[in-house]
Amino acid sequence: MDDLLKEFLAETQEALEMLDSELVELEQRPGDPQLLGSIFRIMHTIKGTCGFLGLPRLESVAHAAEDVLGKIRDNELTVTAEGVSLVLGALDRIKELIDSLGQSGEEPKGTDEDIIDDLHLLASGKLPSASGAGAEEEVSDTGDVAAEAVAVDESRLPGIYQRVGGAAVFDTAAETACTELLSVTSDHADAEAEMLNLQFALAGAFTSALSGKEGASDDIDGVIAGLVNNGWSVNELQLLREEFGKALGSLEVAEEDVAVVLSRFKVEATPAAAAGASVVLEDNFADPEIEVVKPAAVKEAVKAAPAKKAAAREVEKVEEADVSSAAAAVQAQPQTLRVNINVLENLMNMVSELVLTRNQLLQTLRGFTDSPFSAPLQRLNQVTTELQESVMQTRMQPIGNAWSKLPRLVRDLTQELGKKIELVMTGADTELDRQILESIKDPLTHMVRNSADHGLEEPEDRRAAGKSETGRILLDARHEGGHILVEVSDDGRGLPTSRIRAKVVQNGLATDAQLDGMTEQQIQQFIFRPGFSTAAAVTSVSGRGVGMDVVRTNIEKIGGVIEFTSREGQGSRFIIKIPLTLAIVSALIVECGGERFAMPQSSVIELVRISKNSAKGVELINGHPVYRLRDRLLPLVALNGILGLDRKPGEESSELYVVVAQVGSFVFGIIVDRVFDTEEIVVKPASRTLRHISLFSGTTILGDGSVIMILDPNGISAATSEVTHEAASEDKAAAAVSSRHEAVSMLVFKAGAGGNKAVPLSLIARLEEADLSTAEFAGERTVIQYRGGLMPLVGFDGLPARREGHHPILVFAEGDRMCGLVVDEVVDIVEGSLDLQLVSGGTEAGLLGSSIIDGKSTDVIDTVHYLRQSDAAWFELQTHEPFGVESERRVLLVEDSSFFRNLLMPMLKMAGYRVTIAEHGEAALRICNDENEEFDIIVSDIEMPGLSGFDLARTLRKDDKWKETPIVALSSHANPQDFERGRNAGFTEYVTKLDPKALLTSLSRVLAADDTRESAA
Amino acid sequence: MSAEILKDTDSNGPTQDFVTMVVAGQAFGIPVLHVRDVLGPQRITRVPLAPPEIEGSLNLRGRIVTAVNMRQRLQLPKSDAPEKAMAVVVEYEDEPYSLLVDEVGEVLRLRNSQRDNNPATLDAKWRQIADGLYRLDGSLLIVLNIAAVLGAIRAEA
Repeated sequence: MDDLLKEFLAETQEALEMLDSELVELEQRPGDPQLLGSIFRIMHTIKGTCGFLGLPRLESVAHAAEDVLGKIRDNELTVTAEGVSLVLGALDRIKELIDSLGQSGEEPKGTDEDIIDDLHLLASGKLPSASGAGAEEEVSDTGDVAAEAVAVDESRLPGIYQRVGGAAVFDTAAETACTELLSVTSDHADAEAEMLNLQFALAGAFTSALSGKEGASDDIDGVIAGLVNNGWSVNELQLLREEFGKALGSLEVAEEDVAVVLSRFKVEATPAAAAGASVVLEDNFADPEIEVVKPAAVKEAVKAAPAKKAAAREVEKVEEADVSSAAAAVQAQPQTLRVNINVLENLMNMVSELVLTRNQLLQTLRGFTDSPFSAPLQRLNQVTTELQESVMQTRMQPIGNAWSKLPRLVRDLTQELGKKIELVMTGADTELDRQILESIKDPLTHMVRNSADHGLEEPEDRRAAGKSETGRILLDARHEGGHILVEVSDDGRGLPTSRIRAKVVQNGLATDAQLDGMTEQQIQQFIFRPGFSTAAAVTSVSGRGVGMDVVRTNIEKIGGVIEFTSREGQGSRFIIKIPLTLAIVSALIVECGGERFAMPQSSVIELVRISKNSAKGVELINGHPVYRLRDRLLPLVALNGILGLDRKPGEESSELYVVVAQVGSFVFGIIVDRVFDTEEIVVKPASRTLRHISLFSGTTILGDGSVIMILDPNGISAATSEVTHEAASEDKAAAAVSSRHEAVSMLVFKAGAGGNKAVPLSLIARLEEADLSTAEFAGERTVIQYRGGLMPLVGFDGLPARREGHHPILVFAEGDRMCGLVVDEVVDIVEGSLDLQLVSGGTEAGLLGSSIIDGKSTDVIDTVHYLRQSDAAWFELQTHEPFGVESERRVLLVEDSSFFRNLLMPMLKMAGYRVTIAEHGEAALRICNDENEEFDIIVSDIEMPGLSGFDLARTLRKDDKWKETPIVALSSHANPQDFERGRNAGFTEYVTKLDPKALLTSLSRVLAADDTRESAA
Repeated sequence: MSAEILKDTDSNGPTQDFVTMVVAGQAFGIPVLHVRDVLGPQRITRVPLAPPEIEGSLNLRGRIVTAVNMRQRLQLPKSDAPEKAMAVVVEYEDEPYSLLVDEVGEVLRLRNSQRDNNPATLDAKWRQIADGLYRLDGSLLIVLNIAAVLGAIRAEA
């Protein structure tokens, strides 16, 4: 394909995009002359270029569309939705033709008569959609004007367009004339740019005037008026006229035809002059030729005036339109240069290299205080920085470029769906890297389509809901702290969380129990999960998630984050957070095994330095290190381990560094040897031979010239075998969700007879290992000295631990009390779901039930059992919890101790209840006061800070809504007096929390009784 | 210029220029037009988990070049003086690679008629990467097929 054609394709594609959105705008602001002018001009340019390149199909379609636009501009047609649709249809045809032209290098065979005929009908006012009022009148008017002005051989007019040779000739002539003129008068500011505009305007005007388009003489006048207003003198215009004529002549246009053409070039007959506007024509009237023509123009104007009622106004309007369109032309075509992207990339590389060299120089010079190089180097430094910024700038594009197709999309959807939709776009000039721009184009389109299609309601529904009929989709972009936030929101019906829930469960993405533990926000994020939308039944909801996982994947690929929030009846909102540029990111440089690596700063949350001597060291769980960071057990991964690097001998430092990183909602620590500072790095893709290593996302060159690899936090988290992260959980619907709230880390160990045992990791304060032969007696119990106190130890059989051998100890702590469970071996930490199966019969002491963990059936131990064994006082000293639930039963669990919450919640879920947690009495009241909350049973601790369980029960009993609801008290005291007191306060039942099984039994008993009572009533 | 002279003096037909290099005593040649650069010993960054023949990455004037250890690639014993390795930079599928060899020799102009196809007896591992060979005075020069040398690494990856 030759360069010219390529250039044309690129240019036309851009132009078509602009046309798309401008036409839609026109529909909303039909009277905007500037807009109309711009549209007309673009279409006209397309037509002209097609003619020049010999593309007849394109030319004829563009021509027909241009005719329609011309009529609209001349007020012969009014803008209607159908009319715009037709023109948009023509645009689509042009796009198709352009596409296949781009592929094959030639126009495809075929005919466009269908669309051209429609356009012609529309142009002639015969389509019912177009208002043809006044069209005929105008035709005759302009006919008169032409007759009047053209004193030349009238008979030559018909067919002159064909004889002259079509648009191409006018284009060439205009170009020649303009070039010629430019060489003579170059004193105009922006003369060059102006010439370019002029050239197109001129050629266009003549083409349309002579191709028989009615009323097009005004075009030429308009162009000239624009020139006059821009400060062109009549002399110069005259020169242009002459040159134009000469150029035509040299293109072998017959002399008579040249005369006819030139007769349309009425230099002084600008509407501005005729209407007596303040344009000064200077003293150029000395030129006799002009003076001769002048009266004719005046005559024309005078004649025109009575002919039409508002002639003067009309003329002014035309003038205004043309002048402003000329101004708009300048604005719409900033001086740009098309540059191959490779050139820019190359430039970027060169600048990176320059920056590196500069850095090296600066570093070298630091040693010399008064070097003669320091001054020039400072200058070099400065220039380099500026150069770097400029080059970065070349890659930046306004985000509006990615939005340009959306108005058209929304408009089409509006018609298709019969909805009224307004698309509001703000922050379109926010700039970001072109690479990123490309990647978010499709996701954005998808989201807008979704909003229009599924988010917004039908006008009737909106009215019924008390909203305005016109739905609104808001697209907003803004900078925020080194990122760009793009927001797509609508004020439609929203996506109720309850429906997402239902769908999640239906599609097996998570269980009810898992969902119970999640916040609304977390549940909403399910719409990004693959499989969320694959349901066979397409409802307004199921359709909503189509491909949202693809959207998320695309966004995440460029280091972005996407979030979804929705409020029922009020609309939905997507927030996308993307980095400014992919090319340069801020990275933390770390060292491991003697090599340095870059870690993208965006995924680093904090740095922790752990001294080997500190009491709070890294604990190893069967080789898997964990660290208790504040109140959270942080899984650790040793970078040298997953990278297969050896620690250098003698490098055993007394401290180690942990980079706490976050991927999605998964937080983990990466152990590194050293941490350097943060550096801005230029990201380069890794070589293809290295691209399969998922731990790296790219490579870069540091300031000192060395090459280092960029770590990919996603890859590292995936490589962290003990943490089944999202990727793994995705195949297994049962294996819960991406976040730590959804699956529970279970510590698997061996103890006693039988298979593996497990306990939720969150219940374990720490892991120790001790030589039990040093343990001591304290009464009946085995204790060891631990952290300045005595810690009771129990064996798996529930008896005091035997004092022999080295054993791992699981330490449970609550407040400042601790208890150690001696086990044989710690096996692993795995992600497990809370869907435990109760032990049938439930006879085995110390076991809560069993669960499938890591593919194996594993007993989950009942920590309470061991706590009770180890320290009877524990429970007396503690205040406690409650809870409750049932398969379809909703339980409100009021418990202030996180330990018991953690303990009881899984158990209740296991038993099939849906659990809501309140951390204290006040919170429970708040939840209960929410009208939407319903519970079948409330389980409450008695001793709680603030509102006690008794107070809570008394308050609830006064409320009509809760007066019948069973309330179960949980306490470690269970003597008759307590029971009586609880009854008086309003508790239905009183259970000791030391016995989870008793609790469950009592829950089902109470609920059964409740049911009976209800059905009786 | 020299081409002209050679043409005059050499009536045995067209010739081709080769950059010669030595790996573990064996001479190899790469057509000179495929060679972008010849570098002395470089600072090379190790890349963990990379295929064994990838020595690491190096910075060549702002471009990141993947270094391929030719001894490793040809399954030859490790070099006694790996720090002296020379690098021959070639381009393969738009990415630069540097082949680490023991020595880089002179550029030889060889007559096409001297070239032999791979003999059937050639060791299989050599045959894969050889694009024919030249008999020189008392020695053989194996023409390296860059695509074969680097393509295999890619295939593993």
